[in-house]
Amino acid sequence: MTTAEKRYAMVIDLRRCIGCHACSAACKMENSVPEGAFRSLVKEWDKGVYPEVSRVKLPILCNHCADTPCISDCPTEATYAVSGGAIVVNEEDCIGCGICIEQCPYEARYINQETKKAEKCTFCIHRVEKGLMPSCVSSCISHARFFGDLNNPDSEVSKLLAEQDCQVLKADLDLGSQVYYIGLKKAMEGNRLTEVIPG
Amino acid sequence: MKRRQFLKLMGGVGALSIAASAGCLPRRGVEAPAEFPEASEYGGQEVEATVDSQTGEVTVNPDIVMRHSACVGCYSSCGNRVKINKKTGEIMRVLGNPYSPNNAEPHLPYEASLEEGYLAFSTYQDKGHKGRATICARGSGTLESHYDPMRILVPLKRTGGRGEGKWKPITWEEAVNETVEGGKLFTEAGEEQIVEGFRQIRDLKSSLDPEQPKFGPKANQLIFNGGRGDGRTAFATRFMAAFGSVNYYSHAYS
Amino acid sequence: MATNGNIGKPDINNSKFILYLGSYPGHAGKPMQAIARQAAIASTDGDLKFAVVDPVMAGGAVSPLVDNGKWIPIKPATDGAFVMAMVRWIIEHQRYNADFLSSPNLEAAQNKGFNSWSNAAHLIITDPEHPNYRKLLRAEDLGLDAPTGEDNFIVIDEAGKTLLYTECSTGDLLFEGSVEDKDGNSISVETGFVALKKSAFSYKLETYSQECGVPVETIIELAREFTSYGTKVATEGLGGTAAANGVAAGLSHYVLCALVGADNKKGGIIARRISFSKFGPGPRYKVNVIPDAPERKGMGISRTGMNYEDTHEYQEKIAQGEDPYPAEMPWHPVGNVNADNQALFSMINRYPYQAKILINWMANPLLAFPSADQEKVIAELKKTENLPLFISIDAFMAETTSLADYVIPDTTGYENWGIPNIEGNFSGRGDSVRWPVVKPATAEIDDNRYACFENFIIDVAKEIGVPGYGEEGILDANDNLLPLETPEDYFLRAITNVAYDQDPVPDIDDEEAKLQDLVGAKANWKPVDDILQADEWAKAAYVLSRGGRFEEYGAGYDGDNRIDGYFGCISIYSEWMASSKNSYNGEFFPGVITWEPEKFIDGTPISDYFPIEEWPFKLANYKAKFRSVTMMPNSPTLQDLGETNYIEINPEDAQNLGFNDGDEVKLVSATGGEVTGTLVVRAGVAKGTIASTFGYGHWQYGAESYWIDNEKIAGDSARGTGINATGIGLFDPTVDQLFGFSESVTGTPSRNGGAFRLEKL
Repeated sequence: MTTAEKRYAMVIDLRRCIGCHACSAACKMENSVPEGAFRSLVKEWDKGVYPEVSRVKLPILCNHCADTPCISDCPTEATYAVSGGAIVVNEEDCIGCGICIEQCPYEARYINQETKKAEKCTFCIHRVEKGLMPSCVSSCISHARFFGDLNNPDSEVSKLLAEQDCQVLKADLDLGSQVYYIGLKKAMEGNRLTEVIPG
Repeated sequence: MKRRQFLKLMGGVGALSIAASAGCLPRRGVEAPAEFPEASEYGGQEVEATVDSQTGEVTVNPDIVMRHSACVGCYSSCGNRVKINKKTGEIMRVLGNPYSPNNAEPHLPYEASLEEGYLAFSTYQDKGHKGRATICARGSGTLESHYDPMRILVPLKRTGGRGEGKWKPITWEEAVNETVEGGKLFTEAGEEQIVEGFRQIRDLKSSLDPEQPKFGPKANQLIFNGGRGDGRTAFATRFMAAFGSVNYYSHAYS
Repeated sequence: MATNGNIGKPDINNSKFILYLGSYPGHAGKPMQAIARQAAIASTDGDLKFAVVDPVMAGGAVSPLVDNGKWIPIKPATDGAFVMAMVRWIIEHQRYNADFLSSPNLEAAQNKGFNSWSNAAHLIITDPEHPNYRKLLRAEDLGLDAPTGEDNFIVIDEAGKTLLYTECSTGDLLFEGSVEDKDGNSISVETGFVALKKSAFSYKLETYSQECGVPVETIIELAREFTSYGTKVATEGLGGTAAANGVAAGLSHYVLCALVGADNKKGGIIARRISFSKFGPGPRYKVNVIPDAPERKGMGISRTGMNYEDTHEYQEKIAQGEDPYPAEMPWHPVGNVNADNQALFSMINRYPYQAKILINWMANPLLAFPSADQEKVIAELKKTENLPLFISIDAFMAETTSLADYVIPDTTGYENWGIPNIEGNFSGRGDSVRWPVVKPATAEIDDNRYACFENFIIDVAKEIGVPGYGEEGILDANDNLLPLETPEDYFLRAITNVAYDQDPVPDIDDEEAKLQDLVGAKANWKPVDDILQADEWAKAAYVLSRGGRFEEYGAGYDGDNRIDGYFGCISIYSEWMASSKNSYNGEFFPGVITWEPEKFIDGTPISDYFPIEEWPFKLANYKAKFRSVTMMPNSPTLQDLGETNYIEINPEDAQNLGFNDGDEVKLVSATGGEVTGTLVVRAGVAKGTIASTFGYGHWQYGAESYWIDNEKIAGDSARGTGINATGIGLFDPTVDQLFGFSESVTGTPSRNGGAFRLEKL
């Protein structure tokens, strides 16, 4: 059964992602993300040799690292971890210096030009704390995204980690990323033909 | 710098904050609901309900109503679950309808209580995975179209030539009367032609072309083009049948 | 395609192999969500394999992580060649299901484990001297007694005996020869299957392969896969193969599935859009039955689904002793009468007759129709002598609406009612229901009536006394006349039909009514008590509260068979098509699918006019991920996700031209249209193809300013990015009038194909 302490994580099955960006749009709506910015986005690139060409889809977001430079390097301690390890920014304490944006290896942050504060994915902790799934998970049309508590061995994310070959992005940095991918190794190998997604 | 060039420069994995260095702008144009109630210090919207992750008990937020309806973001007729701020009557977000097989797989049994609908978005027993009810990016974008500040809300009549972009607002009664009765309708645009209205065109007896009676009555000179597979076209076909014109067209070929 | 009814969609969850031709799982198709979800999960967790044969690789479910799904590039407008190659190989290697094809009626097929039937074994009259040449042979042709008023098709059984198709369980599929009528006259005949075989064998696999750019090995591999899983295979395609030679591609979905008997089988092709009773005569109301409706007469303006030979023009020429061909403008006898693109080209040419009033409702033909988005067409639409009164009912100042005389505001999907068919990929019965979840923002006309499409129609109809509107407008099940004065009068009653169809739905309970705040919703409607019977509301409200009515997951099967479906004859041979003629050259159309290159209406291959050396590209116009047909350039989120679109070509083509990714280039159509855009060079585009998404290139819809009185409604250029490549599609140079290049049989517009070139700026 669950322990009192939670450890939230996301598992993304890259085989299933179809690059529809339902998650990107839902996130923007749920979190009033400013124009031009995303907290969650699907990176896409083509791969292969003509005529055998296909497309990799890689959803990216804040990795909610256990050991993260955005916390250690923040001069005002505005970035901090809340329940379950979700990393958030305290808007009042943030001075908009941008250090965390430079330090984040996942490029998961931006400055809101209206408020001049750093913003990022919160794992939709405002929903999670109320027993609801993050918006990107609830909107994932091909059922590629999973979210839950790794400290609960019965949770679907725990089972996926146990049963599937899951990897994290930039594992060499050893930051304790909590966003796991199924199929990442295969997705990242080989050539990349086109980075842009034509509209 | 153009967005596309910029994306290319960013390259690599994790180019998520495309506005981080280019500078992002405040949300443009769409007059979205004035102030969404914010859920917590972490931002995000106020939630529609709280679900106890141990027991699955649902406590509905009395300020928010979730109505199940149908999307018109394209012609797929998916369901939607519209999150409405009860006090202001404004739409906060659009989610998927967990009762619809387009949005969820498996979809909820038809007899399932509305409470089950809330659980389809919850972490309780991971119900928000298998039972999730989704809506695509277009479905989300549809809400922004609804709040487009350039939406047309009153009848307009042209005061210049066709396509010149010069309009005046007219009353509902004027719109109905002028199109029904016809006449010299466009003098303001400097045009003297006399236009036949619905009343003159609804002639079921005279041939539209006496030399070619096979084309049928004058009523056939009313042409209707429209309908989007949004479940309203039956209203249009009914009208054309009642009017007596064969010329109903919809999204058939194009 | 009108010759075969609406036979359905792949049963993805139970299928083993699906060929997508003109549809794209995870990228396009209806409903995009369910197709994407099922294809993505079935091809990873399950054992579904699929192939997307398309000029453009658009991502979606095609991924290097999924071995079961792949993209096969094909030249635009050559789907017919690809399909005929598959058919040839399948016939040549006897991979078709002869048990199915030789079953000449439904019962015979069902006895052999199938759940549909075809006319593959039915006989066709091939004697040009016979009065019923090209028609299917009937009992009457042989002088046999047969039921009157029915189609008494004839087959030859295994013993060589001619029989009524209903009396034969296994026909001779390969018969070709002659039969005798009761007077001993011989009539030369062949089966539908033989006709198909002859057509398929017209060209070698290598020729087909050369035409479509798909290697022979790949064609064989796909044909083998398609015939390796019994009836658990399917094809899917929507408008994606729309081209001026698209008949074969369109019909191939029926033919390929019929070659293996996959229709109405679990894992094969299953019926879609199975609805509850709603607008027709229903259990409580007859909403679309119009009391005292006039009889409609005459010919539609679209020149489609009608024979030129039935016109005065034709008969007059015959009477004068003239050659009746060509017609003044093309007629498309086998198409859908509702061919909206053809109606537009009729209106601007005042042929076959003049339109007097056009109501355009939430449609944007100028952007949506191939060849339409060009100055020449717009100029004709602006002429009041072509179209004296033009009313557009729209929520936005879309391109077509911007040319109107009057604009009537319409409501959005959150403000209006609707009962759309649930689209494919659900096996059960269902209807989505849309209802005003918020108060309309449009002008309030009078008490709880808002400016919208329905109220305009109601008020116009009442004003001129069109039957079926006003106080005595709508019938209940007992033929009592009830008012039709508001959208609620109509839709709430239709929704009540849905609620009461078959076993009525439960009543909504008070708690749930409160959760949905139905009291608040009703405050913006005509009082429900004035519309429904006292006991009906609680059931209608239950349907509203669930956003419709849907059968349970997995419903709709009886064992391996789909319960609902198209059980009529699947036409391997289309008698309708075979006995119709091209209105320009008077030649018969083929009755079976066949490969032919793109031709203008008079039969000239387009390459004769526009040599490939000068016009090396064909267009593949595909769905934009972040637009919806012509809708939603006004969503900032979608603008963020897909700011603009591009002119996309294959790297080899770019290299030959000396063009680079990112170049600004001009796309020129052979009949004069041109647009300028940014080049994307990528390997996910077939050689010889210009790929470009549609939904961009708006010049109105808020992209441009307009004035209401003296107030400027300022345009927003972010809505006007990119290009509308299909808009500059070809005009047919063999037609004197301004006429968008179309397929001759059905009038399908040339959305794909054509003749284009690129110029560097």
